[in-house]
Amino acid sequence: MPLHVEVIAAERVILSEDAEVVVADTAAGRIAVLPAHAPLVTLLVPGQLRLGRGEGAQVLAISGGYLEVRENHVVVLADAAEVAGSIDVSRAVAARERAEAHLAQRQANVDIARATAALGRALARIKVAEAVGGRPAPRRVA
Amino acid sequence: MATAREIQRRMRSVRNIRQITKAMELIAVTRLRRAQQRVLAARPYAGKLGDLVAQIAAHSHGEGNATGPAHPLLAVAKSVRRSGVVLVTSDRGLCGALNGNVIRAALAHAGRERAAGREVAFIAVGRKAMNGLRHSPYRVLADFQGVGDNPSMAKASPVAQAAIAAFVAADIDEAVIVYPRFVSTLRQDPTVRPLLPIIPAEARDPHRPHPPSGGADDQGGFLLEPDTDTLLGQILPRFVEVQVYQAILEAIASEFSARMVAMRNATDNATDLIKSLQLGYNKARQATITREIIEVSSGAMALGK
Repeated sequence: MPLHVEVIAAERVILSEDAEVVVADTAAGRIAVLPAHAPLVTLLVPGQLRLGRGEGAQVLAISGGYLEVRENHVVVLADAAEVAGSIDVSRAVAARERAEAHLAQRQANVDIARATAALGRALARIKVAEAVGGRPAPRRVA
Repeated sequence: MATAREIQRRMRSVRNIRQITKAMELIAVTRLRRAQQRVLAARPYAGKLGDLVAQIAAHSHGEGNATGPAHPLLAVAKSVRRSGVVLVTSDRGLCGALNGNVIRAALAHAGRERAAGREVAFIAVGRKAMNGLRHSPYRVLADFQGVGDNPSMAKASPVAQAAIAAFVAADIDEAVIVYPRFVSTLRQDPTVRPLLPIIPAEARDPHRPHPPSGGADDQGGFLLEPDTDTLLGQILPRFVEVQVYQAILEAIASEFSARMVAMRNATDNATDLIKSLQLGYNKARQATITREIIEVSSGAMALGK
């Protein structure tokens, strides 16, 4: 029995479909959720979310949020999520540069925590976009 | 009686006004459709997050009881001495009684709190909220404007942060959020809802279906990573943000539907006014013609004598 996966952002439902496996980046490291996984609530860090295996996998960039597993139901509450194909790489790169510039200044009026978080989000989006565009995405399942 | 020319001038200006109100109505209709979709689209997230909060809070109950609540935002004050009100209105007017009703509801709530011996402080969202509070005796902790028609969560979060900061600093012991709830195009109800402290869903509403728990072993079998405190620390502020966000979305949908109705009424009134002005104009014109004919014919009669 496959997992039913829902990815929900604050503004709208991103997707709702079945998958054999869900791979996500959590605060405690990358995890894979297979059917019959124990109930779980965990914190997601900026990174990727992968549904399914190999070539047919759906990849999303997630900018943090929560993942809940219950009875083969996976609910991802994302702060923001983008399906790999729809990521605007140039915007993500611009966001990365902006964040890096902020961090480089190290001034009192620059919010380091916020810039670091922005950098993490931008990197996650760039990585997901690159993983899908061209080279087969590396599969590292913890 | 007004001359035909004066009446014509008035008709022209009323026609112009009707054109504007008609255009505003049409704009409100399209914006309303989108705003409504956004309210609906944002509901699943809020619902699921509420479930999650309820679940984690229930799970952490045992740990929490020993040293007080598991998280400051869950702390129910023993006696409420200061009460906070987050008031959500629109930035723009021309939407009927909408903002007036919401502000009145908020002030009524504040009045009750005051009568109960509590200090009341406001957090204002929308220009109309600030204007409405200007002559009230209450303190305004923060004031947010320019939320826009299509806000992202990022617009809601400073509002929520202001409320959370005041709550954690014990500037307020509890907080409600007042906003126009979007019921239908014709109805927007001013609604007062508790915002802080967070009372997990189960405790608030016993009729809500309990999240499916597999019985006794579920309590121990639920994995929380990295740990309960970290999760609560992340999720609870987020939950407040989502509630504020929902309220703002509802307020926007309400604003457009109220404006739509108000502008439709204005357009109808303008049409009626034009009709009666047209009648007056016709009469005035006919009177002039009649008078001129009489003048001409009486002149001719005088000459033909």
